[in-house]
Amino acid sequence: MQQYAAKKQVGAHSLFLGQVRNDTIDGREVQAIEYTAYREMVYKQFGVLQEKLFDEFDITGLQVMHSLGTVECGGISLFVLTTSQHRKPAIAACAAAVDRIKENLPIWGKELFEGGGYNWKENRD
Amino acid sequence: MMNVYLFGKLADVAGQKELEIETQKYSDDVLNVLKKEWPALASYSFLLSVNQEVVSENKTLSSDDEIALLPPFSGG
Repeated sequence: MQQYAAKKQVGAHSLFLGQVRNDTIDGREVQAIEYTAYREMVYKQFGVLQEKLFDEFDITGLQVMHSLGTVECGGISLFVLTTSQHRKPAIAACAAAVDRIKENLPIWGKELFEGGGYNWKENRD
Repeated sequence: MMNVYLFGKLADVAGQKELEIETQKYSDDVLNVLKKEWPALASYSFLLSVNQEVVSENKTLSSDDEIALLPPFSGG
């Protein structure tokens, strides 16, 4: 953020953090999510996603990070930061980025339950 | 022969990260062969990718194409 703020035309940053929530599924509590990915395809499709975002929204910066491996409840799985001259494009682009990342990037989460067992996560909204 | 990479739930259920099948000329044929060799596959939801692009229609394949079966994404 400091890097982007140093560009004097920047007026807004919009940040999203996805956190692992302790959902209860069929009476079992989620303790952590283990993330795996088809990495080469993530990089390729992220490139496409990024280009479209810069085309559609008036933003000057986009930073995305996604955790791999096990993330305990309370831990951060996704980080999205957008930067713009103005707040509306920054906020709109950030929201769009989150939606598109969840819809289009080949990343999978395995919900690990307290006491053992797991469930392959299915993204809802 | 060609390799088909598996991910997520599919890799889990198959117990392996790739399957080897006879080389096929078209992506539809890959699906047909896979469903024949692994009938349970028909009960799973997935997308087919060729060279890291999702493919929704029959596509002609080259011998060095990278093919994968992608269960529903659950990142973020």
